Amino acid sequence: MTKKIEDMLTETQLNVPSVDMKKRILDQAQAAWTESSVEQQLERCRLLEAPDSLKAPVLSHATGAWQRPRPILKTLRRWACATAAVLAFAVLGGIYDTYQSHAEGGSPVATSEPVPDEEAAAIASLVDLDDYPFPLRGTLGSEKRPTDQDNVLRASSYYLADNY
Amino acid sequence: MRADNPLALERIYDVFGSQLYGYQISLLCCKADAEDCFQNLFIRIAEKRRLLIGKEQLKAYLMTMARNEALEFIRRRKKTTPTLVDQEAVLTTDETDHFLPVEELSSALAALPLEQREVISLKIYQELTFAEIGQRLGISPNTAASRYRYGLKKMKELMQEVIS
Repeated sequence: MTKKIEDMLTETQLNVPSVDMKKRILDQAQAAWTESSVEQQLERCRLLEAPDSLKAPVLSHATGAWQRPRPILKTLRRWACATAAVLAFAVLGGIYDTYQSHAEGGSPVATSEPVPDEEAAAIASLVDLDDYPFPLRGTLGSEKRPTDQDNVLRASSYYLADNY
Repeated sequence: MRADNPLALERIYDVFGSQLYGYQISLLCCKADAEDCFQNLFIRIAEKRRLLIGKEQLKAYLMTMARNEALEFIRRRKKTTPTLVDQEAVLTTDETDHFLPVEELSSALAALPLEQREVISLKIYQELTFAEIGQRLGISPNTAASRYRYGLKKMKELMQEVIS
């Protein structure tokens, strides 16, 4: 049986490369040969070097840049200017608001946010406003007469304090 | 550099100048552009000098700066000049070596895509390994090797076209 297999292998000539394979191998080898020849030629060349005349202007410009202030300082200076401008604007705005408020006879203190109607109605339904005395004029630091919503809020706070 | 002395620029120029210029000219394939770009590079080095202090791999850092400057230059060049810039010879050799087709090699190298040209330049003229090239360009060593091989193959074809 072993003998037969050896004969068969010999007959099929597996050890001999086919014509196609030979051509392919030779083509690849030839390509590699030529590429290596390009590689060798490149290796024998060298890249152009910087001309001597370039050294003086390059170093002159670079030294100029070296002596200029650092870009980070420029950036910081720009940020500082921008921040100062914003702060100045805010301060001036605040002074103007205070002045305008005093001119109108009011207080710069912001009034409370308006309570939505439904919510005011719900609170008012819980509170009997007649149970609580409301000398509210001026109690918010304002000469303005309190609104109904102010009264409702004040009443509800008394109511909650009494009951809870 | 630590003493903030501009003479450090001259030292950098003397030690790394030719390699930086060679790398940029191999990317740009234009002597005039390479000279402008080289000048910009040294201005950038002067501006960023504090980042260079204590760098262990100063050469690698400078090469990356040179690459970024050249790529930025190429981007700007594409925006400003829609036509192709005339490619110039970027290779040279000893005058005694008459057997090298320097012009053909230069033209073939300049005609390669930027990625392949860059790998060939780094491999042959900066003598980096594929692993180092891959690390520097952010690609795998296999990709670097493929670009190198395809680049040489294409150069061979281009040179054969010129010769025939």
